[in-house]
Amino acid sequence: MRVAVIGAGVMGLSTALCIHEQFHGLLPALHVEIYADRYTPHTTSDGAAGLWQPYPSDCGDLQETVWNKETFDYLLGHLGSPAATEMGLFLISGYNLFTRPVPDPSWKNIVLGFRNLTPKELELFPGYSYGWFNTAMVLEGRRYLPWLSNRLKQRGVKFFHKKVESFQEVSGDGVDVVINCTGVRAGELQPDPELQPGRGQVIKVLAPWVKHFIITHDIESGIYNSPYVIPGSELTVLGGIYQHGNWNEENSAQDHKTIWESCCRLLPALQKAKIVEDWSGLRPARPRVRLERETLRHGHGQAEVIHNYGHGGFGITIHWGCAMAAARLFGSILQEQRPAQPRL
Amino acid sequence: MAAPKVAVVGAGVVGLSTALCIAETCPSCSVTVLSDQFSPNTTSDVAAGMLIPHTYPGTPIDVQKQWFKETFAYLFALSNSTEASEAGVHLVSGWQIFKNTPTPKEELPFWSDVVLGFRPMSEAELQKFPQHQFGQAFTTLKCDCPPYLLWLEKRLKATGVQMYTRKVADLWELHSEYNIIVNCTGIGAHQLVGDEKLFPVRGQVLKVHAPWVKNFIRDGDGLTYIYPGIHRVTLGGTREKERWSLSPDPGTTKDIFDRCCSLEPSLRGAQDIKVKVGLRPSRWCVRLEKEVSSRGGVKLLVVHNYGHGAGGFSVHRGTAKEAARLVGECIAALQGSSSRAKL
Repeated sequence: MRVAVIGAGVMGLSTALCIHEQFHGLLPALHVEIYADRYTPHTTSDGAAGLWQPYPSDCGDLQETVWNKETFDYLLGHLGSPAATEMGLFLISGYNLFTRPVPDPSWKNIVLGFRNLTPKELELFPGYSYGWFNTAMVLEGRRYLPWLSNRLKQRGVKFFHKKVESFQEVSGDGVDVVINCTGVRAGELQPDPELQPGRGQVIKVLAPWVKHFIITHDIESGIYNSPYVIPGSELTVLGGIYQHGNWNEENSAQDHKTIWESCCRLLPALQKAKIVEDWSGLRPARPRVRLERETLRHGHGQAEVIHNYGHGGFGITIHWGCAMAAARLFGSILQEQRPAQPRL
Repeated sequence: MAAPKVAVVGAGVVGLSTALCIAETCPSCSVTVLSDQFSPNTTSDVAAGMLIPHTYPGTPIDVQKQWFKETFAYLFALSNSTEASEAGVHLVSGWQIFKNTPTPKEELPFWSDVVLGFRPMSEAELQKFPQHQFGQAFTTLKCDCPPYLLWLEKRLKATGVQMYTRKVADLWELHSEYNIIVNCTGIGAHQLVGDEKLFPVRGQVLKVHAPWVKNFIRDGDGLTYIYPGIHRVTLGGTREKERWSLSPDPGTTKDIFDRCCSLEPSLRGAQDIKVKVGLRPSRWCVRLEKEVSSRGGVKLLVVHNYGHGAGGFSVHRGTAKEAARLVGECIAALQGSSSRAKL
């Protein structure tokens, strides 16, 4: 049984690992292969700050909430393990700030110690009159992806540096199941008008005195268009750009200025932070994650495709729940393909 | 009377902050700091600098609370300014955990409404600490040393305060050069003024590189703690009464490391472990008072500000302000007597 995973961001690698972990024991002849034109540190996942946090208001998609919770619990379980630091995983507390009261988020009971901010805490953030405090986690793409790659290589998963131009290219080659984790460029394999880039830019700085994440929200500007500060294990990520439909992966001087000025206004101490680098990436934005099976028919026969893309700005947050859901879809494919067992 | 000459003896957090308060409240004073040690070799440099008060049995609680409030407010403003990183002052959140539920369970420490967001830990949060039954979550401030002391020194120089390395063996040495002596010698006061009520509580700590640790964890017994600073995480510790040795103890190092790793397993990957020892200048109560002594018709005016034990950083600004106020009283008395002498 040959499985080809297209895409080596957080989705591709974690889905490959999840499938291999769950099914290799049952299917010794399971061969998983990764195909991607970009590997760490050049994927979208590498630029993300890696904070576990869903959007403050979901569209009521309960399934996505479940996947978020499954990811949180999975990561929480790994915190105490020796692998945590190598994975780029650590606990972090912080603030979500609003200009007016908002309802509690769907994830208030998933994170630890969720509460509203006290008046004294709000004094730290002039211009914001309401907010939340909670403890969550950071999972740094720059460390997690290499860790996933190592686990996969240990398991004998093969990696191919290649831009896949069509599903047929892999499925026609004797691959039984294709896992489509192509993120923002999924439309190149199969048109999807619902998938759009949500361009982001960040500035990575040296500011080791910042121990909290701070995410501001501005209902008018929209998600991620308001300043945010997310400490990593070495660098701190400053952000606050979300441009729907913009495919430009080049850093913009104007965006740099916007991020820098708004973050320094939020945290005056940042003015002394040393700027290390800018980075731009395209969030694979979609009204809903596409996580489903599709049977593609072509010349010789058919191939099963499992789509797992469109995670917007919450890929890290939701990845493991989606990987497990994709693995379940894989399991159902296996069930269908097994010859019927006679009942004894 | 010419500009009053004030000597502050001691250059730890108490000495430097007291000198700064005096310079701020008495611009006409000439203030000099004298110490045999400056940062990075003071007791303050060993401390993590966490704003979590120690309770002095002999000082009224409302006074301690006032000292803490003033210190917290001062540092809170500093943490939110452009000087924060230079001063080494930053906010940090975390947990204080107890193996046994303190009785009564509802009893709040006197400082719970001064720190930010103080509340009991949730069940989910406690699951991270399977050996602990109860805990409190809050956000407080940390003063990293040497940065904080160096920042104080810079502020002092900017106001014209001179600082000299000098070992003062007897406060009387200074009476001809200075009008008022401020004694901020910490554990040094045991010998300098023969204070038998002052005793060391030896603390050994590890300062390690573990930049992924963003929260503090403190066992309510005060012996095991993990305090993330700007560049290093302080792992502690010990509280050994009446032990004067400043040499690190290797067995203790391993014990501290193991205890901290059991609270935060990721510390096993900590790098570049440095071991430090400090002697907390402990006392039943902080000695914060004026003393006038005489010798052959000559008076020596001293303001004492020492004996802060484990709570130096938590109350330093509050006690510095009080010491400056006492210095002001001394100056007023001197000016009063000098004007009487003119009649």
